[in-house]
Amino acid sequence: MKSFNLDRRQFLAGSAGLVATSMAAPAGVLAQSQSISALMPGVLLPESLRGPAEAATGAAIENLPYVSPTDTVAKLLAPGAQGRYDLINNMMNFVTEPLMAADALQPLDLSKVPNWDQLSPYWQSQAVMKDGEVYMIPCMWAYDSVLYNKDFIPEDDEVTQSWGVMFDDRYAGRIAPRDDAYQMITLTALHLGVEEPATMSRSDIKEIQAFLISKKANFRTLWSSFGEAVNLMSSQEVWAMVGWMPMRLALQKQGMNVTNNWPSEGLMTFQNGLFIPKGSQKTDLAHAAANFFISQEYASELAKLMDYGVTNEAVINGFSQETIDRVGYDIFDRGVKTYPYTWPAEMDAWIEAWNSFKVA
Amino acid sequence: MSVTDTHSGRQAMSEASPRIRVPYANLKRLLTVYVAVLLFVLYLPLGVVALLSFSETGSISFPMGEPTVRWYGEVATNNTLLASLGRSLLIGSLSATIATLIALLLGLAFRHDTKLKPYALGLILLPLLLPGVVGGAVLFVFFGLLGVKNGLWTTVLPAHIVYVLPFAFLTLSPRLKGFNRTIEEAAVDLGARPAMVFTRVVWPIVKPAVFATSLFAFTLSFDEFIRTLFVTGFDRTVPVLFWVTVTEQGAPYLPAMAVIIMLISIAASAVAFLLDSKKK
Repeated sequence: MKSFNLDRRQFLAGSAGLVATSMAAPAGVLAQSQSISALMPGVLLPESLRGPAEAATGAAIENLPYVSPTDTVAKLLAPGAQGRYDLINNMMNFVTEPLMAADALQPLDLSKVPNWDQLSPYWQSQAVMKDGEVYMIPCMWAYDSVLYNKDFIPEDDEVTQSWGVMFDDRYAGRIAPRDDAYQMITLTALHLGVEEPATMSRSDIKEIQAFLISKKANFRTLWSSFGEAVNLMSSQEVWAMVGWMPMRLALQKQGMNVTNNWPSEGLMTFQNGLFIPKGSQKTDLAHAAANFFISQEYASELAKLMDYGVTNEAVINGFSQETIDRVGYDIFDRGVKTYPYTWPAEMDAWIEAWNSFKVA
Repeated sequence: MSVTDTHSGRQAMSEASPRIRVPYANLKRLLTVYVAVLLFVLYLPLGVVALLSFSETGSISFPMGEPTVRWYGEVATNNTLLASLGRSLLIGSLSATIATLIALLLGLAFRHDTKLKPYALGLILLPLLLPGVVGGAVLFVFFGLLGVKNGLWTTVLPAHIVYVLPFAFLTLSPRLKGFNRTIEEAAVDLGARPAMVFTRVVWPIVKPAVFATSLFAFTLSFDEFIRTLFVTGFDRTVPVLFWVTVTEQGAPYLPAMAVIIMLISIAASAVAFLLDSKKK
C-alpha cells in the first residue's frame, strides 16, 4: 500500500496563510471598540452609508442577514431572543401588532433621537405609540406596483394602469409574478374587486386561487430574489412583473425603457420603522443609530440610491418636481388610491392557496 | 492429438456450451442514453452558470456578448467576497478537522461492543434526520437560551461541527471497523504501549481515510447554508454572502463567484476521492 505523506511545513505554511486571510477580514470591525447587532434589510444600509452610520453611532453596526418580517417576528419572540438584537428596522405594517402584543419592544427615549424633530408631521403621526411613548419611528416608505417594459406594453392602456396587466392574455408568457403568497393574493384580490383583502373570507380566497390557476399558463416564471427579477426584465424574457422601486431604478440605470404602473385598484404601500427590542444592553448606541437612520444625510442618500420614500421633512421638501413626478413621492398628496400592507386574518389559508396554485 | 485438433476441439466445445447471459444486455444502449441524459440534466445548469460567468453584459442572461474575465477580476478584488471566502475556508477546515477527530475517536470506541452502542449510534446520527431548517431553528434557540451571541466562532463553528460530524462518522467508521486488529494485538504482544500502537500501527493505516473524511467534511461545511443562516453573525460565509447578494441586489459577478465556489468544492471532493481510492 502506498503511504500518504503530508509535508508538514507546507501544511503549516498553508494553514497560517489561511488564518491570516480570514482574520484580515474582521480587522476593520475589530478596530471599532463597540458594536450593535441590527436586523434590517441590507439595502437599507448600503456600503456608502455604513461609514457615516457607524461614525454617527460610535460603534460598528453588525447587520445580520435579513429574511422577512415574519422571520424577524419569529426571531424576536423565540426563546432566548432577549438581548440578541439591539436595533431593528422592519416593515411596520406586519410586525407592529405581534411585537406590541408580546410586549417585546422598549419605549424609545426621544431625547436621544434629536432627529425626531426633523421628521415630517405626517410621519411623526405614523409612529407607533402606546401610553404616550414612542415605540417605532418610521424611517422609509415604498410602494410595490407592476414594472413593465414600455417597448412592449403601452403606457396609456387602461389595463396597463391596473393590476390586470399581470393577467392580460395579450402578454401571455411574458409576465412574472413574485413567489410571495401575501403580495400575489393581495394584488389578485384587489384586481377582482375585493375592497379589504386582509379580512376576506375563505370562499374569496378559493376564488382567487382558482383565478390564479386559470392564468398560470400566462406566467413565464415566479421570481424570488432581486437579482433574478431584474435579470428577467433586463433580458426581456418578461415584459411585466410585480416589482419594487429599487428594481425600477436598477433597470432604468441599465437603460431599459421600464417604468411602473399606478394600479387603479390601489397601489400597495408599506413603511419601515426603527425599534429597539427588550433586552438590548446597548440602548444608547441603538438610539444613536436610530437617530442617524432618520437624519437628513441618510434620507437623501437612500432616496438617491434606491428611490425609496423617506420621512425626513427637509429631504422631502428638497426633492425637485421632476424627481417627485418620476419616483412618485407625492402619491399620498395627489390622491393615488393606495392599499397599505395589512397582515391577513387567515394567513395560513393564503399560504395554502398560493401553494395550491404553485403545484397546480 | 495435434495442436490444431486441440484448438478446433476447444472451439467446438466453446460453440457447444451455453452462452453466458448478460443481464440487461438488451437495455445496454438504452441505459447508456439514460445515463447521458441524466448527466446532461444534472450538469447543464452548472455549465450555463460557468458560461454566463464570462458574459460581457451586466445581466445574467443570454445573449452574453463577447467573452470576458472581467467578473473574475471583480471577485478577485472585492474585499468583502475575499473575506467571506477566507472565513468559509477557515470554518470548513476547522469544523472538518474537529469533526473528523471526534469521528475518529468515536469510530475507535465503536469497535468495542457495549450495551449503549445502539443508542449512542442513534444519537450521533440524529442530526442527519433533521431537515436543515429545523436544525437551524433548534440551534438558534439553543444558543439563545445559553446567551451565546451569533458569531463565526461562537455559533457558526459549533453548528458546522454538529452538522458534519454524522457524515464524518459514517465515512470513517466502516474503515475502522474493517481494520485488521490482529496487527494491533501483535504490536501489543511485542511490547508496544497503547499510544505507540496508535501512532506506529493504527494511524499510518487509517491516515488516508482520515484525510479523505476530513475533505468530505470540509466540502459539506464549505457549502452549508441553511443552518448557517440561522446562527450567523455579521461575518458571513460565502454561501450566506451569496444568498444575501442574490436576494438584495443581484450582481453581475455572481456567476463567477458561483464558479469559484464550485471549483473549491469540486477540488476538495476530488482530492478526497483520490485519497479514498489510494487507501483501497
